[in-house]
Amino acid sequence: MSDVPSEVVEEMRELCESVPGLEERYKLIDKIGEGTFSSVYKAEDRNGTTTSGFSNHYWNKDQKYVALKRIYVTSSPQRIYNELNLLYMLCGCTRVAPLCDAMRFQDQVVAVLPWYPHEEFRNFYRDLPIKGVKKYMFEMLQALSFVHSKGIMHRDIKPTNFLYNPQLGRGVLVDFGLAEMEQSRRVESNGGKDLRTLEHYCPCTPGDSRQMRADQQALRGATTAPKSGQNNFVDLSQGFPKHETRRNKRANRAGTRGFRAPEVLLKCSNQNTKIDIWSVGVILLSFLSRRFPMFQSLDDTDSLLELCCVFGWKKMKKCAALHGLGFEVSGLDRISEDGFKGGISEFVYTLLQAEIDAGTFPAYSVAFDTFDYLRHSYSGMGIAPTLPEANIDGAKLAKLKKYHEESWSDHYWCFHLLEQCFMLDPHKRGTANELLSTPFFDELLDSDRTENEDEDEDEDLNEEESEDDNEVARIVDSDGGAYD
Amino acid sequence: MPIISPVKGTFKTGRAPLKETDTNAKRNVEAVKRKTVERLEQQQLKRAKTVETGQISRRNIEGAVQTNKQNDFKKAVAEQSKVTPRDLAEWQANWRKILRKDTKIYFDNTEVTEPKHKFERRRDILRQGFSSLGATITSFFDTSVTVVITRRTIKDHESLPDTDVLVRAHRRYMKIWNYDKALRFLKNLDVDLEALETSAQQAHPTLSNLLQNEKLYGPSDRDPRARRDDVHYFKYPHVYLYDLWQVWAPLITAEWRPHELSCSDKLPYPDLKPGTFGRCPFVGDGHCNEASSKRIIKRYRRDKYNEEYALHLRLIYQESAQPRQVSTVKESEILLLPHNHPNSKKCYHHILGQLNLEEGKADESIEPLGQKQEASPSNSFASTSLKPPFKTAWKTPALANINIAPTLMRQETEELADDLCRKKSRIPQEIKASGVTQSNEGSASVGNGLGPTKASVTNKSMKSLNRLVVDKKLQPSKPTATTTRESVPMTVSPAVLNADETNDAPKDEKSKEKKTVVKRQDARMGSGYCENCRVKYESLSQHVKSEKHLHFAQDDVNFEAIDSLIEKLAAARAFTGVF
Repeated sequence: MSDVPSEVVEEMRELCESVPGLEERYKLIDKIGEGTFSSVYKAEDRNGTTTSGFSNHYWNKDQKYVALKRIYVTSSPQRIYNELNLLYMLCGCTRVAPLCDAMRFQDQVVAVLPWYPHEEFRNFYRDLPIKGVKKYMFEMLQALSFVHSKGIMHRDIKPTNFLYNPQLGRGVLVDFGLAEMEQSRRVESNGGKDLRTLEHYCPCTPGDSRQMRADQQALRGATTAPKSGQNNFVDLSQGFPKHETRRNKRANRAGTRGFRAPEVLLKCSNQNTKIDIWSVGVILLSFLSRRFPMFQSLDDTDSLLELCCVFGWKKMKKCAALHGLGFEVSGLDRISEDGFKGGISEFVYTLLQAEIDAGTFPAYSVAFDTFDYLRHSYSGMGIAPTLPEANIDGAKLAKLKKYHEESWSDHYWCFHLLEQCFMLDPHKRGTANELLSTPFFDELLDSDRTENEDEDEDEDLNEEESEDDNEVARIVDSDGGAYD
Repeated sequence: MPIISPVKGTFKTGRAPLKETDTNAKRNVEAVKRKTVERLEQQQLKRAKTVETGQISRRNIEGAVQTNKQNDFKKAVAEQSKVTPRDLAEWQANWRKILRKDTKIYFDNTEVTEPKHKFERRRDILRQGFSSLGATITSFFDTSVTVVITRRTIKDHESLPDTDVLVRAHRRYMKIWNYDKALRFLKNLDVDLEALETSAQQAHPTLSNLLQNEKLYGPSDRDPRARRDDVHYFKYPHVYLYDLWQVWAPLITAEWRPHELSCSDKLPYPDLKPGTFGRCPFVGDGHCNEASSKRIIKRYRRDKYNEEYALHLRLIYQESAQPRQVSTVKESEILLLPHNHPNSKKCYHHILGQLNLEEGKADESIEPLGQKQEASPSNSFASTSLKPPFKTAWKTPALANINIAPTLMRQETEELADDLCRKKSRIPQEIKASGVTQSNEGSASVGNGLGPTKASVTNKSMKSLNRLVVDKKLQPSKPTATTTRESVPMTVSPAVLNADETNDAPKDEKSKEKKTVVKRQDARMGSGYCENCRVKYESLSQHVKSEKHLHFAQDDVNFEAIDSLIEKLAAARAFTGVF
């Protein structure tokens, strides 16, 4: 306890006071995190009853610490219930932190989750080798595959919400505070009413016969003057009314800056689980280019412009049109029409090049593997890796060659995965399951099979209950919306 | 009729102003007209005649409405007497089967003189209608086609040249339908043509719609292409994100004057810097010069210290993505691809050479650290959960014995928030989540992030007031921000405000850092928004003692859902406890 600062000790004492009965069951050890909506403390389960039912979730069977998540009293009970209930629904997967227990006294709610000996992302993102990245991505996508199969989107996928231990190669998804159920597609009998005046309508609606139409129209509309039969009589593609009387479109934007998918930035009202896949892509991009954070902007305008820097405004314009929006970028220096011609991999290359030129990588850095791979594939020297001449003895050379070949094939599929995550059109972006079945993860799928079977059993047990819960969650969700 | 022709975008003038403004009436008439034209056809009036009535109705609207209304009525009566629901159901079932199984439709694309866009729209409706019933639509005519849909009148097969599609279709006993017939057919099959139509074309304008539009855009008889005083047109470099259908207010309107963009190092919008040393590529290195001697030495030490952790990671993931459990790291086991790239070690040695220091002396300075590592590898690797070195453990290098020019040292004063060399905070910092509520604003949330969204349409005077407030808030720290905002005259929408407000922020790393520190305290004790009481508060500790909040907190009804979940958890725990 000696290394715990006095203000933290004071804070923990205060917490114990505010929730009677907490201290009898849990011994608070330290504060381990502070988020926007909660503080998290490490604690010991005094009599072991809480953790006993969740032993399969623990990475280390001997250490059974818990994490106490103190949810700030300013959060509404609906919001808190939404989070707790989603956690409860998702306790069938070892890659999602389960809700072991919860306590409430008046407005103070404390959620009890297992404690995981994880490592901070900042400490390993520059040093994790490609196969380590593979494992990280695998764990994360497995978690998301489970979460998405329940129709839940996490909305806040970022390294801090995925507790990972690179030594063990294990990770768990945490913090479902912003998560929500995917909206079931609403079947509209709109009776001739203009769909676009409905707030929850977005022309990107999938599987809709209207979709194609809308896309075409939008694209056409983006380049030509307003059409006949349209409701307006002013061309507002070149300017905007000085006195705006139209309402602003609203959409759920919950998430963390830098990890938001383009459809979130474009206020699409039909967001689905693909928004999480985009965030996965941002994390993967951090690994490959060894930069963190990758995107930094404070608002949506800047976020879109950051994406323009990478993809070019032409592609962003197309993407905006999918959601019925026109997007004009004009005269902005260094924001080009096409962005990086070689796509996202050229962007990675540029970032690595900048660091290599400055000599800021350590001599042992794994980033050189990625850089050499990219340089080689751009130079058109063929795909077969060639080792630069060096005096290495036979046995080691063979090993090195094998390592080299595998590293390059991993890189090839890894960049393939990256592109899949960064599809600007959410419908073209892969699902967690689709991404897991790409060749990148081949070597891991076999070893994981046995693990999955155990999990399936757990799932079946919860099946019946969770269906009812879905219903409740949805209701709460819509209630939550009324708070705006 | 619509005033703008979509193809050429020409504006027709010379009509009586009264008629033009009365768009609502005209449109309704048009809709009625279309229906009645179809129904007239159903009464087996000749195609030629319908076209004629169509033309008449276009010329004389009132007349057409009256006659068509009568026809409408007659037709409805006739239909009722003829077809029993059972017949209809049978007929529908038959056709649905046929359409699904063996119907191949070809659209005759021979040009007719009538305006193209009108037919195109209807053709799209037909296409969608038929394909929704499972019929195949082909773009090439061949002998397997069963139905040809044309917009020409069909009566005169003989007069057409032998090579004409319709003649050939006629000879092969294919069905030849015109558009009206095809539409009627779909309608009888209960295809929701209106839904298709609304999606294909714009919605039928209602009076309220039109009035709303007039309010927004002014009277409809204006020249839409003329520049207007009440619209702000972009002159300078800008970003504009707007609703193509113009139902919603634009999402982004940001414009920058040339003088704001003159300094290419400090653009008011993000650009690729790209920076080094793991930093965000849109922030760049800022004032931190990674090429300075001090940084090079600092970095080298950091890398040296981090080496065993990094090599350990390399080793456990060397052969498989499933981490290998390694107790000791043998240097010889690690496979490093040979490369010649500049790196922190090289830079370090280079600097040493540059400073004319003896190698030996320099090595001495780093030796203690290096030795410590080599001396205790078995110690630290013994546990499988190797931790990355705590950055607090190493200090700034002892520069006393290295003779560095003072000018180089000064560059270190500005340190960035995300510097890998910096000591780690005890509790990991994270990027704040935001946008919990369905916000209109693009920027990160203030306070505890729970605050509600402001009214969607802000009162004009409120807007200018808001602007003043923001200006005031920003003035002391960033005087430049004000000029930025005023550069878009009169048109400051919330989006612009946001853009400007935050565009400036990343520039000043120091102040941002301070801000986040303050915010972190805010989250627990400072100001914020209480979702339960729906009020903003200045001090959390004060607020939770307020009567309203206590009243809410003490009412268990508010927490029923949570309580039932807690009970479920307790029950599950008791259950597992049995075993």
